[in-house]
Amino acid sequence: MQKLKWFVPIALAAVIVPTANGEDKVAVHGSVQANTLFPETDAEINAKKYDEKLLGNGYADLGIYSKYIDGGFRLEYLKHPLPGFDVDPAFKGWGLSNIYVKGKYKGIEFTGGDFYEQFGSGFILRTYEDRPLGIDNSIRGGRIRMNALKGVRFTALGGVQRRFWDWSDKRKLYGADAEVQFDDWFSRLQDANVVWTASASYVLKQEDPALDPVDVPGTALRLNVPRDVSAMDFRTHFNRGGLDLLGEYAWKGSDPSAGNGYIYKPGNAALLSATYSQRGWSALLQAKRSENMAYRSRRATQDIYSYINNMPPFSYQHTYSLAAMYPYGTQAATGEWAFQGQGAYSFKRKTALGGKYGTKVKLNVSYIAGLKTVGEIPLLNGYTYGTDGAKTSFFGIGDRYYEDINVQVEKKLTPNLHLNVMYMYQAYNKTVVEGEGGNIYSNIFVVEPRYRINDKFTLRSEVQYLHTRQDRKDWLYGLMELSMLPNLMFSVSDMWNCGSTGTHYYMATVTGNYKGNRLMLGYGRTRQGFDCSGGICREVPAQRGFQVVYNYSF
Amino acid sequence: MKLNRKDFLRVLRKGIVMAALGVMFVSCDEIPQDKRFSELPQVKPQRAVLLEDFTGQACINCPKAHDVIKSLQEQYGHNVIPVAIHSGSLSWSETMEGVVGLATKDGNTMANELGVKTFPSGCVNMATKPLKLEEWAVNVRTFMELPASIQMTVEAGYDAVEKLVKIKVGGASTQGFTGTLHMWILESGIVAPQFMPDGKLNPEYVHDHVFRAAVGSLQGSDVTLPKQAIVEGKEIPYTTFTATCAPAAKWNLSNLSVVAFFKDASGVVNAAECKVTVN
Repeated sequence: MQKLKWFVPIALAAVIVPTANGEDKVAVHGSVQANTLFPETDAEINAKKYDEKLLGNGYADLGIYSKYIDGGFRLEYLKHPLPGFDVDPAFKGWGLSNIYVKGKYKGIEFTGGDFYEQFGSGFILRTYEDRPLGIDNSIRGGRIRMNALKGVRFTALGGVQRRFWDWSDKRKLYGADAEVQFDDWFSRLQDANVVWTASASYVLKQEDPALDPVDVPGTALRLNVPRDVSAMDFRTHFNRGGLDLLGEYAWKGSDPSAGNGYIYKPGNAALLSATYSQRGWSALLQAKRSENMAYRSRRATQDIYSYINNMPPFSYQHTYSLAAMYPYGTQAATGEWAFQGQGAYSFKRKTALGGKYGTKVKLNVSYIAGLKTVGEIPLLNGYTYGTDGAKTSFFGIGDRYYEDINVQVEKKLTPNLHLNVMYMYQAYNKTVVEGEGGNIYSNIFVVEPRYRINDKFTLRSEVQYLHTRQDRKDWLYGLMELSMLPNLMFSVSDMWNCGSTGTHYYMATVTGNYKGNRLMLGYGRTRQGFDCSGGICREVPAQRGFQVVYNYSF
Repeated sequence: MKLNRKDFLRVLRKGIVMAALGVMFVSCDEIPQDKRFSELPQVKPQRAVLLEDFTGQACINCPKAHDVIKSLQEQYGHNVIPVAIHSGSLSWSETMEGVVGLATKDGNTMANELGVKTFPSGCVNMATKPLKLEEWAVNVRTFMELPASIQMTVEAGYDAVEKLVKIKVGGASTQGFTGTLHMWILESGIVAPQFMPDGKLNPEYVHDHVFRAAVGSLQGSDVTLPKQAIVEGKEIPYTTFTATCAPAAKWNLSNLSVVAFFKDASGVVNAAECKVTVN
């Protein structure tokens, strides 16, 4: 088997390269990524001791692309992963994690091997790779895409889903998606500059009911769980000029799982989104209601690694450290009502608010709440197992889970000085997102000046302050970053818990770039918290140590 | 290719019919309420099962685990032996000032060694990985039905003169046994704060089966049991082991119990629990 690991990529290259003739050149691209940490114990921040002197996540990708055939593979080395990635020990391992061959001919594309896919917004299918979260829920199997008929796109797939180093065939996944593009058929729509599509998707998960049996505690009853769990999604997308409209509805069949307390009620989700942009301003309004939409290939799991779908996030994705301190994780299992609005306006130059260089103002509002339940929650011997769970009213909005109102102003003050400021109010239901901790209300202030010293040097700094009376109280964050074009960047930062523990989370880094290489050396502390992306969160334990991060792509 | 209005409507109609058929098809996944359960046959317990409940007073989901334990005890009686091991970041140390904390150094060691990352988690007979709450009932039942190669007894009493808890464990093996013998002191009826599922603190929560200490060492003591024939109806030829433990001042002697178990590489071979008698 070990020999096979190396044989397969070599065979792949041997097949693809001769396929391309002189006209159809073969392109080879790849990348290497290594994130490593020399961990140190630190009692003050509760950074634990590791048996290993060096922890790291390593990846190497190689892809070969030609006119008719593509192919690629990825090697992963995760035997001694970075802190927090081993929540499930099965994460550890190494080997060939992804390999595929793709054939393309006249609008028909076939992929065999490992691939990623998303139908619509991801309500019923989204498989993807997110290395900071440790997610790779790719499908190993086959996929066909047909674009042969004008205005119609069709995708069908089948396979098994990856969970770390397991591709068990006791759980299978099938799906199909069809999209009709009306403007390809009607010239009037084209003349009016309209892009209008309607799509329907279907996903079927099959899981052996004998796997992971569940008994109702205190009884002699064992749950009969369905082998097949279907999900459907219908959506339409309209675009004309600056106007973009999306409506989507999804339905998932009875899917008792650990995440939903083994209730049998079907799930559903609906999304409406409208954006409009014109020169100088833009606006976005979105609303989403979802209920019981945690769709996993393994019903017994409750973590982030076996999702078949992904509910799109409705909270603003902050990049400032303190603004991202309490990130919201989408509550797919219990469901939520979510609203988001964004507006941006650029005040023109030489106006009262625009000043000499213009001013850009952005307003973002997110409000996410639970669903309002109706009546008593049905229980069997004190448990929801085997019931339909709580009844909800469609328009009933329950407890607030998350709220974020932030205003950002971007202003160029002089030819060399640029200033970003942000104020943010946040309400975060820590109990819902993390399991304990109650509501946290915070006010966050950010000032980020950037000064271009000359063509080579730029100095950027951040000062952030978070005020809250809950949790670990107030925080202050400062950062100084010096960029030396084109190759070097130095930064020092400190996150100080000034309201409670007095702990400093300091960090210093040097980053160098040369051609396709990027090397970052850093030393410091990382706070225990959550790393989130797209509403999916991974708990990161406290850590201290020397970091080496290397990336290379070609 | 361009479609006229008639073609378009025909395609649209087909699409709607197919979507409706799809809805009807997937509706077949539904399991009616009266078919959601299978009745399991009566359990014939072959041994007592040790259920380690890794828990914490700041863990709002942990009282749910305590409810599951109560359900299992009602179902299986003394054949399930729960031990609440307060540990991890959601627990409060017994050395903490100003609050009745229940986490011990040994408890944290056990949680770390087992890789317990989420609370509540449970280990059954020290043979499973840390299990989620939903997995406890199935695993307790499965282990209970496995034949035990060891029969055992445990007795414990508090000697007020010597101020010691004296423990006597008897073991007899049908296959011969080489492994370790463990004795743990538990306390029930401890009134101490606990965060509840609604996020509120219950200052007078009653904690049961709380792990207080391992007698001797956490690793247990190496023991050997000879291979013996155990004949039903005849007296079991137990090999006896004794130990003593000086109780801490804060322990309530009348609520103490002792859990003893024989363990080898496969996990707990058999376990027994008795109350500490106080004369």
